[in-house]
Amino acid sequence: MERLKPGSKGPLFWLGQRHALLRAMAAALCAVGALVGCGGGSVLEVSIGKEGETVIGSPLPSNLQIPDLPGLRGFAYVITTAPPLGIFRFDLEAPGGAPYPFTYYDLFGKIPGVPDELFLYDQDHGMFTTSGGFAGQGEGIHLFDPTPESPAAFAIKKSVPVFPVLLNPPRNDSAGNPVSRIDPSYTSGVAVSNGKIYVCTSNFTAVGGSPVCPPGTVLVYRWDPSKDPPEVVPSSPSFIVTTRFNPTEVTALGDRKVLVTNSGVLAIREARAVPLTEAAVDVVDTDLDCVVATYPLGLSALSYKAIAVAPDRSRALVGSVAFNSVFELDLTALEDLPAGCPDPVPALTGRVLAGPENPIRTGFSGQDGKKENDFVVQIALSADGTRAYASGYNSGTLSVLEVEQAVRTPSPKGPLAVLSLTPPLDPEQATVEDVGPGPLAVRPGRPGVDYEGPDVFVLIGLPAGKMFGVRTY
Amino acid sequence: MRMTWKGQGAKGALFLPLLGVVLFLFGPASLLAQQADEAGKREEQIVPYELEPILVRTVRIRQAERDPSSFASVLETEPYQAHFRTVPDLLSRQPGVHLSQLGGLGQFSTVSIRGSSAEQVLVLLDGIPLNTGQGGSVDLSTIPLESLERIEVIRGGGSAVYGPDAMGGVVNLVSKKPGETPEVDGLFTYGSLETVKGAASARGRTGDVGYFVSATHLQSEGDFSYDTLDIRTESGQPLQRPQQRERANNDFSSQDLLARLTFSPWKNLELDVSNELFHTERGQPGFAENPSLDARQRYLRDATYIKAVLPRFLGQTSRLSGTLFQRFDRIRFRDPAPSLGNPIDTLSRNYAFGGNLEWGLYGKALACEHVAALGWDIEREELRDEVAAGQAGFGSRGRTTNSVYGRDEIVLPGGKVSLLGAWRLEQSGREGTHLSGKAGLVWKFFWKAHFKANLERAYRRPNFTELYHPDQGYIRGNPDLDSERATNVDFGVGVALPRFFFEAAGFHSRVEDSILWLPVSAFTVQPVNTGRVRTWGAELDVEARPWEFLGLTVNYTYLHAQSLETGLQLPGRPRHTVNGRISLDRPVGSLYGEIQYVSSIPVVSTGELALKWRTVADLGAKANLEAVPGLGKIPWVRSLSAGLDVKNVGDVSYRDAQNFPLPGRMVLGTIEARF
Repeated sequence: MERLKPGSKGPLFWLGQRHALLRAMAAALCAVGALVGCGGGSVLEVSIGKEGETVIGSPLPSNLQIPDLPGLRGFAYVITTAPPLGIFRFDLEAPGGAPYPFTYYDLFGKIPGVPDELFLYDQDHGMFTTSGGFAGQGEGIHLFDPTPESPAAFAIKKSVPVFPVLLNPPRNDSAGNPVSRIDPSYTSGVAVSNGKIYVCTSNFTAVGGSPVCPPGTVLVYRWDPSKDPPEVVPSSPSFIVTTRFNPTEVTALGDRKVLVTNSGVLAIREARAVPLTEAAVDVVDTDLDCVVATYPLGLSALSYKAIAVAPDRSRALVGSVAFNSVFELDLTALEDLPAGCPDPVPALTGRVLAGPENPIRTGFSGQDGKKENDFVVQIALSADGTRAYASGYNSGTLSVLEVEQAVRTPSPKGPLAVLSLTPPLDPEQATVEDVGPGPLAVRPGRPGVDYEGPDVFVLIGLPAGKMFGVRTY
Repeated sequence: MRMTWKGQGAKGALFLPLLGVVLFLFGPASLLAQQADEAGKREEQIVPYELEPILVRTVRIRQAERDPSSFASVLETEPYQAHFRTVPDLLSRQPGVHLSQLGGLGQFSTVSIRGSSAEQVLVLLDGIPLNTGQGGSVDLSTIPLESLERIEVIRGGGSAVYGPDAMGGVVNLVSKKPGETPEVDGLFTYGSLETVKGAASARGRTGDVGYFVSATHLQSEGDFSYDTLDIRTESGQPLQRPQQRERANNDFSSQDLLARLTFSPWKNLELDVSNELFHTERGQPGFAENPSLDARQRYLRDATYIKAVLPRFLGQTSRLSGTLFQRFDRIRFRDPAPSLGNPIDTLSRNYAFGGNLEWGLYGKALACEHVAALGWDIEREELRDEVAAGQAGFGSRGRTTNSVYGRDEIVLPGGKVSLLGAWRLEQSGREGTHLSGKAGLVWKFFWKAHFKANLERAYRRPNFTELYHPDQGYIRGNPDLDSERATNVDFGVGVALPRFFFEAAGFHSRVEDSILWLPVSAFTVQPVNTGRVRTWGAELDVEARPWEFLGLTVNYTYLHAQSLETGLQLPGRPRHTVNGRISLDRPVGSLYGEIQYVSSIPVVSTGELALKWRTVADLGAKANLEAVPGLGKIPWVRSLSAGLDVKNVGDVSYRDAQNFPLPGRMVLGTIEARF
C-alpha cells in the first residue's frame, strides 16, 4: 500500500475527485443510513379528537365512573379492555371542555385477563375485575390507588384470584346437567358492602349460539382497606349461588344489602341477544350472605351494568340487553322482609312496577310504543333522582326517562326524550362511523350550580373508543 | 492506478466487505471468463430456405402480454438467485403495491394494489386463479420464488382481460419453462430464527419433451422477540409503553413440488402440462395482546393444468388454445383455547376446476393491424367443510361461472398508436350476469416516450366466507351481499431507454357497494355493502443503469383511499410509499441495498388511530465463487454463488396491522450451484 507523503492526497481522495457522483451517492447513503433504524412502525398514535369529543383510543372501553366521593367528583375514570390498556382519569373541570386532559395509568403487563367492572371506594381505594386471559388465569379482582402521585407511581396494590366453588348437593346447569364443582369464569360485577367485597361470576362453559351456563355465583371476600396492601381473603360463607343463571353485576344498595343482576342465559342468534332462561334481580343480605328475596323479570335479558338506585332507595331501574326496555323495581318491599335466609327465596313479583309486560321503552321506537331489539347498556339517574338516562348500543341513542312513578302502570311507557348520539347499528345499514353508546355516568352535583358543561357522559364503543358529554339541563 | 495489498497477489479477486464499496468498484481488472471465439472456419453451404410467415409478439419489459396498455411491473426472478427473497418481498417493492403481513416469513401475507382490498387482487399461477371461492384473498407466502420465472403486477383492475374479481389489479405468476439445455440448480439457505431452505430444480429436454421440475423446502422456528405497541397521543403524551415480549407459536414448515412438461405430439400442436403441490404446517399465533399458543393450521394446495395450443389454426395468423385446470385447497385449522368463543376445529376443502378456449388471430383491416382474441371460460368452485360436533359450518357451497370475452389490440397506421378494447360477459350463480369492459390507449408520441391511458369497469363477487360464514354469534356471513363494482381510470407517460426507464401515472377508482366487515349489533360482526370508496393517486417509477455495474431504482406511490361516508383514509392504506434500490454488479459478485419508507397507516375508519411511519432497509451481497481462482474449474459446475442477506438492517420494530408484530433483523446466508 502506498504510504502517504506529507502534504499528498491519498488514493481515496483521488477516487472521490474523479467520481463526484459516487461521493454524492455515498453522502446520500449516509443520510439514508441515518434513517435506517428510524421510524416507529410499532408506535400507535392516538389523535386528540375533534372539539366536543374526547378520544380514548381503545375500542369498547368497559366502564365509566364519575365518583360522588370527596376529591373525585370532578374526574371521570374510564377503564379500557384493549391497548392502550389502562385507566384514564379525565379532568372534567379543566377549562375548555372536551377534549378533556387526562392522566393515564398503564395496566399493560400488570394484570392477566381483560378488565370489566370498575369500582371506586374512596380517594385511596379502587378496584376492578378481570376475566379471561391465557388459560383462564385472568379471573379476579385488583385493588389500586385511584389518586397516585404520578402515573409512574401507579401500581396494583393487590390482585386476588377467584377460587373454586364446590356445590353440595350438586345443582343443574342451564342444560340440565348436574354440577358439583365450579371454576369461576367471566368475572364481572363488583361492589363493597358491610366490609366485604362481592364479585359475581357467570361461569359459562359454552357461548355463542348454544350457550351453557352452570349456576351463577357471587364470591365473598373480607376486606380490610386499612392495611397496606389491603387484606382480602375469602369470607365465610365464601360464595352465594344466585337464583338465576348468568349473574353479571353487583350493586351496593346500602343498608347491608346488595342487588345481584342475573341476566339469564343469552344466545346470540342473527346478531341479536336471545334470552334462553329467566332473568331476575336477587337481593343479598350482607350480614347473612344469602339471597333473601328476588324480583323475577322473565325472559328479559337484563343489562350487565350497575342498577340505578334512587337516592332515597325507594326504587331501582335496570335495562335489557335484548330489547328497548327498562324495568323498574319497588325497593320499599325490602323493608318488610322476614329475617333469616329463606328457602324458597320469596319472589317479589308484585313489586315490579315496570316489568316485561309494561316496561319503560327506550329509543326512537320506544317513542312510538314499539318493542324492538336493542342493547340498553346502562342506566344512570339524575342527581335529584327524577330522571334516568339510558344508553342504547344498537339504536345509537341516549333516552331520557321519567322515574317518578308511584304505582304500577298497566302498559308500557315511552321515553321523555331521545337523543341520537351515533348512527344505529343495523344489518341493513351498517356504517364506518362511530357507533355504540355504552357505559354512562351522571356528574355528581347540581348542574349549572356546582359545575358547568355536560352533566351526562357516555362512552362510545367503536371503532376507536370515545367519551361524549351531553348537556341535558 | 494499480492497487496492491501486502501479501496478496495483484490479481487476487477479493470479496470485500460492505465498507469497501468504493475500493471494490476499482478492484482488479475484469475477471470475466474469456469468450472463446471459434476462429474455425465454417465451410457451410448456405442454402436459401424460405420461412413461413411468423407472427412475433414480443413482451417488452414492463408490459403485460395480454394487457399492453396497463401500467405493469414485470419482475424477472433470475437476478434474485443466491439471495433469500420471497414473493411478498419482491411485490412489496413495486409501485402501487402495499404488502400486509401478519407475522413475517411463512405467515399470511396479502397485497393491496392502488388501495384495493386483498380480495380485489386476482392472483394467477400460470393462468390458474389461486383466489379460492372461500376466502377470496391469496396468501402469497405459499408461493415459492424458486419455481417462478417472472412475476407480472398489473395495476388498475383487469376483470375484462383476466376474469372476475380483478378489481384492484392482477398478480400473474409465471413458472419456469423447460429449457433446451439440461440444467440442474440447487440452493441451501440458513439464517436467523433457525430458518432453513433447500431447493433443487432440473430442466432440459428429452427428445421432444421438455421438462422442468422443482422442489423447495422452507422452514423456520419463527418465534421472535418484539416490542409491544408504543402507544402515545399525537402530541407525544405516553400511554402504553413498549415492553419486550416473545412471539410464540410462529413456526412453519412448507414444501413445494412443481413439475412441468412441454411437448408436441404432432406438428402444429403444443402441449403444456403442469402440476404444483404445496403444503405448509404452521402455528397461528393470533393477536399479539391475546396470543393463541396452540392454534395450528395445515394447508395443502394442488393445482394442475393441461394446455393445448394450435399455433396455426385456420391459417398462419390464427391460433387456438385450450386449457383444462383443477385446483384443490385443503385447510385444517385447530384452536383448542381461543381467546373468544368455543374451541375451533375446522376442515375446509375448496375445489375449482374449469377450462378455457381461446381463439387468437392477427390481421389487417382498414389499414390497421389487429391482434384479437375471442374466448370462453368456465369454472366451477365448490367449498365443503367439516366441523366438530356442535359447531356450525359452511356446509357445501358452490358456484359455476361461465363467461365469454373478447379483446382486440388495434395498431393504427404508423405503429405509433395502439388501441385496446376488451369485454367480458359473465354469468355466475347468484351474482347473475355482469358485463365488464376496458378501453386502453398506447401512444408513442416521441422517440422512446409513450403515453398510456385506460378506462375500465370491473367487479368482484362476494366470496363464500362473506356470504355463508356460519352464524357463530360474534361473526356471521351475509347471503344478501351484492357484488362490488368499480370504475377505474388511469393515465401516464413514460420513457423506455436501454439504460433508463421512467414512468409516471395517475389513477382514480370509484368503488360502489364496497364490502366491509362491520359491527351490525352489539354482538355481531358481518360483511355488509357499505357506501362508496374512492381511491386516487400517483405512481412514479424510475430505473437507471448509468454504468453497467450500477443499477438504481426508485419508485413512489401517493395513495388517497377514502370512504366517501367519512371522507377519511381507509384503514390499512398508507398515504406515501417510497422504495429505493441500489445495486452494484461485477463479475465477481454484487451488492445491493434497498430501503422502503411507508407513511403512517390508519388503523380505524374514523382516523383516530394510526401506526406511525417507518423506514426499513435491507442489504445483501453475492459472490460468484466460480470466478475465484481454483474454484471455477469444478467439473460439472456452471456457476457457484454465495449470498448474504440482511433484512431489516436497522432492526426496526414495525407492523402492517395493529395486532400482529413482525420480526426484526434477520441474517440469511445462501449457497447456490448450477450444474
